[in-house]
Amino acid sequence: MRIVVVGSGASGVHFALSALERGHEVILLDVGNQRGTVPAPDATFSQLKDTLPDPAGYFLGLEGEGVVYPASRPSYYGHPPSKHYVFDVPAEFRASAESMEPMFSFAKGGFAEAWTAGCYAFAPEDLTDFPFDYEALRPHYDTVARRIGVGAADDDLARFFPRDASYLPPLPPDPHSAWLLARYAGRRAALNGALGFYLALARRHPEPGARQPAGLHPVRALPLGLPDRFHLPPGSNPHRMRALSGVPVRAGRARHSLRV
Amino acid sequence: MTDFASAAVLPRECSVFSRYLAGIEATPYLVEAYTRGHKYLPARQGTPDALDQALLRLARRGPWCARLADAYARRARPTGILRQKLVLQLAVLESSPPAHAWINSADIGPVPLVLARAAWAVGVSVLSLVAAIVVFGPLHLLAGLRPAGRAA
Repeated sequence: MRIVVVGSGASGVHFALSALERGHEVILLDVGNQRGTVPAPDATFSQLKDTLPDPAGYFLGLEGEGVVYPASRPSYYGHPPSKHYVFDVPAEFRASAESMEPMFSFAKGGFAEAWTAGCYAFAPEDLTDFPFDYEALRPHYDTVARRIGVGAADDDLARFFPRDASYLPPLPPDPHSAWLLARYAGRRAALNGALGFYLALARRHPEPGARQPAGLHPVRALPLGLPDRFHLPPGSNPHRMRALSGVPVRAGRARHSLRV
Repeated sequence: MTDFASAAVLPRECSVFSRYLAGIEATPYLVEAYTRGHKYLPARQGTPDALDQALLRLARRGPWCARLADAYARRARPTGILRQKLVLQLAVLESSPPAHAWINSADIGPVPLVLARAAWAVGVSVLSLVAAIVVFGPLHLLAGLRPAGRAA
């Protein structure tokens, strides 16, 4: 069978390879902004600052257009000017949203051009309108993680929410973050036990109506427009988060709409 | 006053802000990057008022004056021109040598030493704010009492 795949992002190439392995003929189509030359592709983040001829121009933009000033409204998904080609919106494209910030890629290669090795599995309730369920998908997460590079490490909530696939090791953190994580690891048991402090990514409830893991509080809505039914560790709740400067917490269910 | 983006004052600003923020002398590259960054400075869209101008003028005099002006600006003019320029300079310093390694380094050491450094930083901040209120408070009140359109 001849199959035409539109889009050469992470999903497109994964599907194309799967189809090729099954003996199909694949035509992969893509269009969009072209990536420029990548300077020093083997250099680390810190090394770029020392080796590039114009590091400020690379990280902040040639005329500082990437600097986020006080009172400006930065995108939640901040990205440097060197990645603008991924998100530069064509004049004819229109989109609007409420309580969420959808991402669109306009580059050849899709979001793989700005890949950070982070990707989250569907929850069972995400798939209620699909002709397959979560258990049918589960075995394939390992393959996807290996092919496109999805990394993960256990955090403090892993005991309540086990991993859903065998992910690759996480990308190495910068030296400062590595030091902080190492220091935290040495105090993890004491902080988890005595203070009820957990360092973890907020998780979505496994399924509607399911019994919540002991010791975790359900939260109706979290900052940044995330949907409801998230959990925070003991000691955290929206009322306390409201008291934190600069943390917007909206009550009620997050709504979103999208017009394209 | 329209000189806040003038090529005549920016090297001096860059030099003072580099010493205030990172304790280093500005290199020709830092001056060039700081100057370039002014093209997208939001303050270019308007005219700074009297307090903004006074804060910027004092900040240009030296690192300690910059600290004083910054202490007041972060409460009275958190989005004003001085804070915008300091954000720009910090972004340039964090992105390039020779200061990026120092800015991104962790304050590592024995706990008492780290606490002592933190206490010193807090003390300096509090004293700076008190001094800044003494210096700029009256000017701020005066500017607020002036009729609209005459503050600048």
